[in-house]
Amino acid sequence: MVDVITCEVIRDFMETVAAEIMKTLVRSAVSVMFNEAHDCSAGVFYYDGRTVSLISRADAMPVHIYACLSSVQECMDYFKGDLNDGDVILISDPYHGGTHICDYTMMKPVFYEGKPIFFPSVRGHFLDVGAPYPGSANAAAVEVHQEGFRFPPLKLYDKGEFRRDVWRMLIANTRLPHIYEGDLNAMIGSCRVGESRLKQVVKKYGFATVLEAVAHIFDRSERRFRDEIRSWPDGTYTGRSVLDTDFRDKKDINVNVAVTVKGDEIEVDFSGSHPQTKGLINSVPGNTLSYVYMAFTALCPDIPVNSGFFRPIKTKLPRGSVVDPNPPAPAGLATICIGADIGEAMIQALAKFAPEKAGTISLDLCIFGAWGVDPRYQNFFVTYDYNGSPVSSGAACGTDGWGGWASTVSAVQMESMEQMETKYPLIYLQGEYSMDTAAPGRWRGTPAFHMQRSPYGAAGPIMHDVWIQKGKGHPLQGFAGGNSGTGNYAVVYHGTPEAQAVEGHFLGALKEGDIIFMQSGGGGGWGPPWERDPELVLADVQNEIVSRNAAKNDYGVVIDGTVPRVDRVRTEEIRKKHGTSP
Amino acid sequence: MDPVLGQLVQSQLLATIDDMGQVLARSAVSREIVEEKDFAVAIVLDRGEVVALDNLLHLGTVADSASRIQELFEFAMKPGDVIFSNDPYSGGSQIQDFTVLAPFYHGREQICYLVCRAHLPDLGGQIPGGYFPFADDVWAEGSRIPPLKIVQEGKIVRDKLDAVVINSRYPDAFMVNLRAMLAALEIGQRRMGSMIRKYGKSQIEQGMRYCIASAEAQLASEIGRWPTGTYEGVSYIDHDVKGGSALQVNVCVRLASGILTLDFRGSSPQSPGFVNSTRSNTLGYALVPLYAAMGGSVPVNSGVLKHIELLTKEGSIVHPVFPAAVGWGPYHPGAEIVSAVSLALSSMLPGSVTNLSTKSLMIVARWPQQHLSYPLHAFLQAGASAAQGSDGWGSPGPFARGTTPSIEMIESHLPVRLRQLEFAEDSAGHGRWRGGFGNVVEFEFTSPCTVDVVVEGEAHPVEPHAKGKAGAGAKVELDGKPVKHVSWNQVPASRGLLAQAGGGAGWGDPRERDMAAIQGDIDIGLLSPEVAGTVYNARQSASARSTVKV
Repeated sequence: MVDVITCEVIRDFMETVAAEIMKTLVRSAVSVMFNEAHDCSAGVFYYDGRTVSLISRADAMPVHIYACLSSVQECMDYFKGDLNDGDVILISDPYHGGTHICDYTMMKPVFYEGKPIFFPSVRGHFLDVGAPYPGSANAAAVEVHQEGFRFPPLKLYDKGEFRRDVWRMLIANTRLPHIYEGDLNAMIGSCRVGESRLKQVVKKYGFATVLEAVAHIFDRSERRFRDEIRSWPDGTYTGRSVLDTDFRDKKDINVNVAVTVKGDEIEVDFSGSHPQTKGLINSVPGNTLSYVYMAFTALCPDIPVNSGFFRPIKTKLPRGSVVDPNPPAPAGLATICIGADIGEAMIQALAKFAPEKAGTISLDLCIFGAWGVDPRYQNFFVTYDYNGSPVSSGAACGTDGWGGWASTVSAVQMESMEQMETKYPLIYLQGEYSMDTAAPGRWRGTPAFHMQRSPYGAAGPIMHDVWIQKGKGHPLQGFAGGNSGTGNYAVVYHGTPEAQAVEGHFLGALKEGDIIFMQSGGGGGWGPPWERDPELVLADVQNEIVSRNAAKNDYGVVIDGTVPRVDRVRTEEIRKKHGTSP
Repeated sequence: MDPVLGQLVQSQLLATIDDMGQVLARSAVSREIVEEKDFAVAIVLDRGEVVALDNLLHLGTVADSASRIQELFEFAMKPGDVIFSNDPYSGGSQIQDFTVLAPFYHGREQICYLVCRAHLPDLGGQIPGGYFPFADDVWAEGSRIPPLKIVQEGKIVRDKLDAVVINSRYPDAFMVNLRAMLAALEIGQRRMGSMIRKYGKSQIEQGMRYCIASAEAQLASEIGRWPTGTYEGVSYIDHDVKGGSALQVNVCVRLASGILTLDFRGSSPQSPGFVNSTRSNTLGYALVPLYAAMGGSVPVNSGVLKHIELLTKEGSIVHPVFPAAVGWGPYHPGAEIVSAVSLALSSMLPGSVTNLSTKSLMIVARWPQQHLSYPLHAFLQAGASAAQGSDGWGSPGPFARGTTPSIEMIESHLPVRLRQLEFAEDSAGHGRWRGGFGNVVEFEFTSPCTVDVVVEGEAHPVEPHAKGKAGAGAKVELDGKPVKHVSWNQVPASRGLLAQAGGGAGWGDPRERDMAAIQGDIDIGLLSPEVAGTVYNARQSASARSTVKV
């Protein structure tokens, strides 16, 4: 019988292993997606001979959490009876537990007493996987076959032997082989680091003790989460989020969710969600469930996240819908488009019984990709600019939007603009918050981010692949009476007679000097704006986040004087006239 | 080696690959293999040296892809292994064509390799089937599989094969065809095994070397009788599918010091679209007119390459650089490569060879709701060109292995009806001997569909020589209006699409054509009296249904 303290020490060791795997990956990978943006994740898993369980995961992109679990489960099922020490397995197929083709999961089984028991696993976004068009999303895709080279579980190493022909096949299907190879090697290296740490913990405590501790880790998270669920009032709570477009022929694609709390059990039912679409926004279960779990973990920041945590949650995903499509529906953008909507719908539902814990948990991206030839090195480059989308954080109860991404995705970082300018023939002309774009609320959202960028020093035109998600139609929602965010938009050839707003998607060439402008709106506010502390509004005015006009119209706070100060009398008048409820 | 024994072994080797081809054609399910016979079977030695091959078009690709496979698996090949590759940039041609190779052993000794190369249905890419006119690079055409070992010592490597097959839109058909290829290789293993038991290993090895040496000697002997000097041939492609202007394949054929040089360096730069032929593909196509000129006795194997030099410029349409799209290479500039060499050789050796080329169109109908698609261009048959002494006739090269599909079969499982399928009047190229007629086909769709069309051979039909005239160009019309060169057309039900294949080129002066032959053409309704009058100077006499010279 292992004592609780030892169990906790082992649990923490496992968390540290996951963190170390992640750090190793981030520090050895070649692509900015990994080493700058950190669009990757790592986890430690356990296999009981049938089911894969998550023991610990790194602070990382949560959309990878569950997909890592379901992908690894597919690997174990596929290779059952044919797993050996020294195997390294890779998988990318969305329809085998994944998310979209560019997200690769790698795992390496660690054996004890002849059986695969633990494994480190890494997951990350590969920039280009040989789709008909460069980058990670093909606007012309109506089938997953048009989204790149994908594969079900595939051994990269077999019994420790490197399978060179498999490696060559993978490299043959990317436009960026040197980056791809570097990233794959980084993943292999990080799995090896994970393996060696796992061997250390087993060596130190003994196999039987670690197994017992793992069971305890799961049970404890399950118990604590069930306690939390019991504290929530029984009932069914609904949420809904709408995506502007499927980038094909559909508009207003809805995700509906009903969360039923009963005792210490939860059921999450997505019935009523839009049928799957031709456009590339179909969320396979690996993706859908990641967002479901993300919403609950966001409500319980103190409970360790592992498979025990997931036990009380049952899900109902309607087959053939955007949250559980049938192949060969394309899934390229679903990690964000529909993914974020699943997250939003979930948190809207949960806000109904725990409003003080709710806030924007989703991404709200204006992605854009660009590709062309870098004249300095004469090589073909593809880039995704996360600088175009850093501000989806909304308010939470007690905190204004803190200026970056929503908490659940804040593990992803922006690549520094200096790095981008060094690596690619691009230059940034603007990158700043804008006034009067933060969603009003008792606590306000983050202001929208305005960015201008232009090709610079490029040999020829640079193809720009711009996707507007969460445009003006359905911006990120507010909570408990807070307002919605401003939504996103982009303008290409900004400042010229040819300027055009991007409607959904734009694929075109920009040459030296052509400017793309984009606004990335922030997340929603929390609580009625009329309840915001006037001193905070004053600070907003002084920081040029809110104008005096907006202070009055949105918040009912009158700021006057050359040195700004709150006119308390008039503020109280306006607010009284407005009433306490919005 | 005793030539009689050498010939015996050679015949047996040819019979072996013939058997392999039969097994493949009869067990596969795809039209390309079963009807078009778009495949090749070969016995190959180290470094891609081809001993016997049934399809000259694939001499370059079989040799080069086999060689690449051997290179990458030099120290990692065992009995029972099978390796395949579709990569155009590992000695291949288009993504759909897979080379499958198995080593043949006698005991522990490696004797030779059995190779099968065939068109498999779809491996991803933007368009089902892989022919994507708007492709900017090879990745848009499908997934590249460089040499990959899929059978290890007799056992299928499940995860590697699944990783490939999952990328096909038709995984079941892909697997059936692949198994047919593996079966063909297996038959080859058995035949080679019997041969070794019958003749002994040493005789077989000598026999294989004999095949190669004999081809080399025969080619040397043939070209030894040819004139020295440089002879040029040029053939044109109407457009580069991306809105650019005409492209040309230019070849200078030069015989000097016993080496026949095929110099393609005057050809156009590579196209931004899929009208590019890999160098390996170029070689096979360039040799077709050469073999025709030599009269058919020279065996098809690498022996001939010892006296042939292929010169190409990297970055041209006959030798594109990675990662150019190459999907239509076997058709265009494939046809133009055959044409250009035909023209050069017919200048070099007047009367010995005609233009063996025909220009293909692409007309693919798709019914997405029903998950159906069909290449309607399979019904088009262009006219073969005339030769000295003979009107153009029969199934035209270089795709003459194929058969026309069955109208009844198509009508029974596709929402399309054929309203017309016959030779087109006045389509033959005029000459003392006229070209073959192109056919005209009219399709009526009983269900709405899209039809992807790429028209080539309209402005530049197959080029004639020796004072003959070119045949009519190809054309495609939708509802009576010509279709754009590269277009995706939405076609409602009950509409008609008319397509006409180009006519073969004529040979010699039309005014020297035999009267009876002209009358014959008029009688069968394929030569109009007007054209007979203007081109052939023949006029129908008022009294009888006979023509007289004016």
